[in-house]
Amino acid sequence: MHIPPIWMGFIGIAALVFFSGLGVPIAFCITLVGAVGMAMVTDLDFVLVTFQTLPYATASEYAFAVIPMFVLMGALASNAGMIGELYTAVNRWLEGVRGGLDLATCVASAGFAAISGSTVVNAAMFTRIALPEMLALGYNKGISAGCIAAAGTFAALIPPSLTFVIFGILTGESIGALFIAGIIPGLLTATFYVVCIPLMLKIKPEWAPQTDVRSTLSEKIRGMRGIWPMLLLVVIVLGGIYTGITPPTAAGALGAVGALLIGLGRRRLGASQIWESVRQTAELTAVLFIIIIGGLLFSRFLVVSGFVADLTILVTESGFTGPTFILAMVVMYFIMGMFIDPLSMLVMTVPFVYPVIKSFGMDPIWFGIVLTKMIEIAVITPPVGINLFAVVSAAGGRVRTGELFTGILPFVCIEVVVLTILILFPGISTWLPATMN
Amino acid sequence: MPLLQFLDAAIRWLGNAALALAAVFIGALAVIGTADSLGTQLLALPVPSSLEMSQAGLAVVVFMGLAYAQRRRGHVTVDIFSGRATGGLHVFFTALALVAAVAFFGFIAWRTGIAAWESYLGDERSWGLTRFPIWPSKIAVAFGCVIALLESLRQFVHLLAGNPNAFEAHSIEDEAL
Repeated sequence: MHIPPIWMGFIGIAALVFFSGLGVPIAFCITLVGAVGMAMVTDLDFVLVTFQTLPYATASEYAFAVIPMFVLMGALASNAGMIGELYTAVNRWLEGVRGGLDLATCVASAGFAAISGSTVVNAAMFTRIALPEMLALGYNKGISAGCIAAAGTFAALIPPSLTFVIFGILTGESIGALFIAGIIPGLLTATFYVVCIPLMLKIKPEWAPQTDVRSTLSEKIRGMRGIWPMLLLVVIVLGGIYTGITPPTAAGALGAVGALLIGLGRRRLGASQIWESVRQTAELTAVLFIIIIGGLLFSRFLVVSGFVADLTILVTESGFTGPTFILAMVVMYFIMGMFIDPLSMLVMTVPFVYPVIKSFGMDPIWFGIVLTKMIEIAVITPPVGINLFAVVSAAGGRVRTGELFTGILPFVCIEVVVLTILILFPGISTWLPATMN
Repeated sequence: MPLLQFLDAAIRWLGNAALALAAVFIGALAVIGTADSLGTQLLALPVPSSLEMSQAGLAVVVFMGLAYAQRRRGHVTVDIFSGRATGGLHVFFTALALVAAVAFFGFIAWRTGIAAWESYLGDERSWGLTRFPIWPSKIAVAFGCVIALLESLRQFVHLLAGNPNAFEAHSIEDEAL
């Protein structure tokens, strides 16, 4: 029985959604569905040879070493207490402002995002550092927790972002260009938060009472001393990538060694913190790579089955234009993001969405930014938002899930506004990478 | 059951040893990358075959961390339904995930094992200035899958024995993105 390629692809995607919905880890089901699909559309030998070569070829690709290096840098910086120092420094300057702790969380989270690629780590760490203080000062629980969860997402756009790395691997786009393209949209998002939070608190002042605590100027300046290591790492990593002096992988290695030396020099890293950082890196690298390998296998299945080609024709012939397709994607990712974690969403959809985007002649780097922004929204959209879970988990019972689900809504609205701006003005994403060496 | 306890301990030891090896190679990747970058920019003296060494090392890092990730149930899962299941349904979902893990690791261990064997027989070497053998890296890939397979089987046996919590809990902070 001959099954048309378009149906073959849809059956594969449906099987993937079904098994992942049953709790089968995404790496396993995407690989196994891809393997069965490939065996059906080609032959078993093709599958056997693919499995013999693809895992090693993917895991030994030099450009992909960027993942463990940036994860290590973020873990070392985090375990060396850099987040706490950054938060304290920013907070001292914002103490007199209504909602100062919310704003400090946003600014510090944006700053730490420049050396950490994980939204979950950002959200969890700031929950531990900022939330107790916010609640002690009478801040609204839901809004405070929502602010932390939402600010944690800055790590997805502000480089070095793991989302960009995975998007780059799945599509073959330049990871360096994606990193640089994310800078302005990431800072734009943080700026929107800093502007919108005070406006929000003008309408609802009870969400964040004004405090009388004021640091002296010397205390404020002293607080700034703690952030030089982070600034140094940002300059080394992003400066190296932007100027073309170092490729992303080498920049990651420099950043990781830099974070280690700074931590050791300031006596903030001992053997246990170093081991913990390396352990986290090893585990996360393994987890991410097998998903990537599965994603590439699944992508290969969609290509050899003829699904991608047929889908592209179907989409273009069914009256979709570039803008309407993007609109459809926004709706699709918004709905998916309510139920599926971002990494799964990425590997499930990029293999067939990306070729269609290319066929419309849209800039793939810009699409990477828009997709990442949609993923940012997904991680804070109830009922399944991984950052929301991270905050509830790290809050240790201080915030209930229901409170957070309500508190996150204003921030989802801000995110939607920024997403609209990024879609309407592609130059925001494409200008900076165009100036790269 | 002394045999099961011995196998538990042996597989745990293997997983820890693999993790330690991954840790060593993570350090090596960082050191090689830094030395090469600084050497190239400051002294015009790149580390010979740094790219090839990093490639071989990365494969070891990826596959040697698998068993540990499996032990901690660290793989990314869409648990919107399975996470709410209790009793027999929970056991069913766990069993399904473990069967998939066994199939996944078993299949990849088999195919990468063949690739490693062929690489060893042909004394496959890297390109570049220093043509070092890359079959040890390919063997490490297959071996990492085998340890992850053993860990999955260990968990499956515990599940069948009515001890579904015989593996470590997973912290959400360890997730990415």
